[in-house]
Amino acid sequence: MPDEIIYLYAVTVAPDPIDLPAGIGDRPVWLVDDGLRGVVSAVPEWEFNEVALRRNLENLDWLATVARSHHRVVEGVVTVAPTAPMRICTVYRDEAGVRRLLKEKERALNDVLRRVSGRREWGVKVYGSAEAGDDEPLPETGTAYMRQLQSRRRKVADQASQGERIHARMRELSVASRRYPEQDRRLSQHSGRMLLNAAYLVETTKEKAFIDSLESSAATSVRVQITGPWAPYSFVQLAET
Amino acid sequence: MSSDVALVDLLDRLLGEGVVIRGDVVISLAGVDLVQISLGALLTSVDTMMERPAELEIS
Repeated sequence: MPDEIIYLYAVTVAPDPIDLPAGIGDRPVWLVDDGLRGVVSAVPEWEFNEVALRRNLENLDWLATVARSHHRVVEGVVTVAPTAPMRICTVYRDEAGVRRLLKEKERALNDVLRRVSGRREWGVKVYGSAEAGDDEPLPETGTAYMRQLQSRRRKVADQASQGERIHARMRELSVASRRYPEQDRRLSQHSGRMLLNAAYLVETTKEKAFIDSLESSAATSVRVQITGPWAPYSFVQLAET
Repeated sequence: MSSDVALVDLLDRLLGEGVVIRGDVVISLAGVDLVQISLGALLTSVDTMMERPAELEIS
């Protein structure tokens, strides 16, 4: 095994040369050009071999550092040209491996790049207000308790439907959408229930309408958060070949 | 584009999504779903993180 292997951040149609941010470990990033262009940097083999990866991916500090570097490089390219980000830790023995990929998957990659061209990803999260009714005092009688329980259930159901309503509306204003599971509270530190965690691929010409609509969707019972624009991380699945 | 995105939003996208290439990758994670690995990462590392919160940038 060589001391260094090749980490692939993304595939793009960006022109070469292009000014790129530093990669993992502040190493220089360059383009492997084979029609399509792979955005790569060298990484230490000892850190990114299979055994090491299994261990390192369990280490949140390591994962966070690599994720930030990966993201920084992707951001550096996506602002220049249509770009398909790779999943984290896609690594090749050498540049030839990257060239082989670019050749073998050329059609599927081109399809993906066409699909994301002129579009950007936006994240939308909808939170219910702090556990609906949980802060109310415990009633003293059974009837009052039942009433409170029912009212609490209604609030929860109402908030959930608000989340679905917002999702339906955002889908109409986007070309594709993808839902993620509720985030781990220990990482996100959100309060209340996360009713919606979704990504939308939006035409750049429709972004204003998308954001305006989201803002007007906000209801008193739920809190809405938008993130982005993101590189199209959630919309680059290759067709099976 | 902002680079100060929340780590948790980034991990949603980086661990489960992105172009997934099989076969050519030297480091084959075949048989092990990266999402499962990451779930393990979150569960095991968060405990560690809680013990030394100052080191991590979690927003």
